[in-house]
Amino acid sequence: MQPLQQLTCQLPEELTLHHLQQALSEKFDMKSGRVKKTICRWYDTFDWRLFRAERILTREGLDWILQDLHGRELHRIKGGRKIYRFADEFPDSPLQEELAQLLSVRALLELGIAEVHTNSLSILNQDKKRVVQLETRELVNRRNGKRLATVCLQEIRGYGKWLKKASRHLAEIGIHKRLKPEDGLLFILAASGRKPLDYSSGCRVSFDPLMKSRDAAVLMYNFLLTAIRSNEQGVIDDIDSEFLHDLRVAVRRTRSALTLMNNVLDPEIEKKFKKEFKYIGGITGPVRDLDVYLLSRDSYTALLPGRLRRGLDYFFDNLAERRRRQQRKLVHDLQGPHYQQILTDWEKVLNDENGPAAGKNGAIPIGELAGKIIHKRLRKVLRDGKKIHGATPDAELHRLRIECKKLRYSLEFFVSLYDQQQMKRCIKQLKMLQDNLGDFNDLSVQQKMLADLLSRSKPGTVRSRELAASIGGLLTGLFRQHQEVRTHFEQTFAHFSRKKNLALYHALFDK
Amino acid sequence: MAVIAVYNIKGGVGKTATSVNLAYLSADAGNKTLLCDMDPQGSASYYFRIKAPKKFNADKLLKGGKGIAKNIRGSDYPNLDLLPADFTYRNLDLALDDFKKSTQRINKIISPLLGDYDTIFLDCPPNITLLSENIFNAADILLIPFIPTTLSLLSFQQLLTFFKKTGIDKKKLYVFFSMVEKRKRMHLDMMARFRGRKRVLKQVIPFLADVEKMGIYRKPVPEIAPNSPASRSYRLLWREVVRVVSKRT
Repeated sequence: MQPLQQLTCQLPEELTLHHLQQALSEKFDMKSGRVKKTICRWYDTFDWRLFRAERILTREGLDWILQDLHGRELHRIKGGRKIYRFADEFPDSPLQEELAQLLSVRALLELGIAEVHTNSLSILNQDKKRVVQLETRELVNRRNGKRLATVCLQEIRGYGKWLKKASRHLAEIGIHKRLKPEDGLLFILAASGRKPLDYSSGCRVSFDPLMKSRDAAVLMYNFLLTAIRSNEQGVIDDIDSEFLHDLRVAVRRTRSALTLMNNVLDPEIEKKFKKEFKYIGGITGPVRDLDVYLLSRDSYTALLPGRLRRGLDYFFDNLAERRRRQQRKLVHDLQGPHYQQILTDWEKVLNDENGPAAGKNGAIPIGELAGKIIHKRLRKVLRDGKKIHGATPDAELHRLRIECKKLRYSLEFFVSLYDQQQMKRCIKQLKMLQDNLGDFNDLSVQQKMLADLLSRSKPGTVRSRELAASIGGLLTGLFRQHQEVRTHFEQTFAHFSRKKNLALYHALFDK
Repeated sequence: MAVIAVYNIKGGVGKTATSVNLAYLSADAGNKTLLCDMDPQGSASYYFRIKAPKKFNADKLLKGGKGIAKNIRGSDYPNLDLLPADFTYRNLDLALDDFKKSTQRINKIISPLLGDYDTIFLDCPPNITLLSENIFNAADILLIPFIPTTLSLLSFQQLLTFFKKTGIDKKKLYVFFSMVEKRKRMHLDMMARFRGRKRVLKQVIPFLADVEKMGIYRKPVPEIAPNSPASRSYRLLWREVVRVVSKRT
């Protein structure tokens, strides 16, 4: 069946609700309905996951409403007094399922709040049947006091002609400015200083191939510095785990760039800040490591039978306590003089009047340098990967994983300089190899964690014996997977280093 | 997900009142509900203030597909739509006879609508024709409002015989007592005879003036008098019907 039409128009300033009702009554038989007054709040994640998926989430009174960007209501549930932050806090419902998919581990932030006065009206036909449903809404943005008045016409199935008549009549009295639900969102955001999609965790910097490498590097470093600063408050307020993750990724990219694009800036600058950003990596590490462990809590609990879950609970509760302590330390470090000084100094260096001092590669056009860097990194990956076979120690695979990361970062840094489609393919091929190595790494981490858990249980009790038995079982399973991934590596690497893929690299980067 | 037909060969037993009020309650519970008015008298359509569009007729209905969707009208109540009846429906059984598999035609045109609706109600005309047989085949549940008198019992037995003859699953049949007047000895006696039998619903609908007011106000009873005994009776009946449907599907 066809979806029902909905038209939302903005009421011009001069037209009050009363005028509107009068004007409509002149032509139509009208009936007034309910008047409602509620508080409405808008929500999305820091990186606009809902908006990106063309969704808008609001809470009106106790109702949570998910709309699409056409203003159609997709889901509505009644919540409790508590304001939900994460998808798993919502009551079981189709709304919760969609949010779980879109939000993943991110928290909802309140984007704005408004008082909403709603007035329901209906147009009736000669049988006194409702043929058009109207709703007037007046939003008063609590943060800046501004007002937005709208009228929404809702089609009633089978009476589409009446909707057209009504909208024509409204146009005649000066109401024709169509509004999309995102206009409502923009109205609400106006007081917060944010704009939709103003943050994303990707690496989006555009270079002109003729740009001097030094200038390109400054652009990149500034972008990454902004990313670090944007996520700071979220880390300090401990809103969700991704703020720290994104901050660390930006730091890692900065450190990587300082190595990959070496001698683009004065080597003294590069040496100094490599060390400084290593410090930042160090202070942020412990909390992130604990977050990663804690995020796997549910999946581990599911693997063990009921009786043995208690042991796991003690372990994770202990981790959670350690995390709380490390978080306090992290906040202290982020607010401390050393960290702040690093970022201030870095900003000064980058935005110095004449730019930072350049190294010997600084004057090379970035288009040229990029190709050299990618080529160098690719050669390393190929060389190191070829050496790996069944008997090679695991440490070599871990090293290769780091090399692949460097190649990946260099592809991501310079993506704007090349054909988008081909770059996509390159990155996709590399990702397959990285996924295999990533699985390998994850399994190592998991085995380490279980061994750690085992070492902490008090020996001699019945429970510890049972726990040891089940952990033993899990470890055996993980070891088997570890071997499978290892065996699969050679196949995956052969696929990555096949002629067709290497030809792609040559075609792109050998200019 | 169910197709519920409200049927009785006798007129004036409360079929339309039942269809209208149960459809309203179904929609109110959040189920997307369609009420198909199959009676050329168009009483259900009248209660909802909906007229069949000029171009709609029995032939268009039997054609099915888009022809039907275009003629569905939204009622004044959320989640509740109506497929209005047309006076040409008086010849439906003749028109049905022209079709191959003439007893399955209605089932064929109604089933696709279950993609858009959770519950479909069929308000049936008071007769026993090829159309009725079609409706018996299309419905998951056949609800029979029954005024507890001797003549009603007779016609019920005739219906059971008809089902046996035509091979329709009599497990679809559910009976409830309608327009019950507790001061009448005959009503009490008749209800006692049926008490505890399978597929006789426990909830009864008493004879109440509020139900007749539907014709004046042209609204379902829970909209006219939400806290009245009439509303309560229909609510309890709906709850029992929901239990029956979930057991069968």
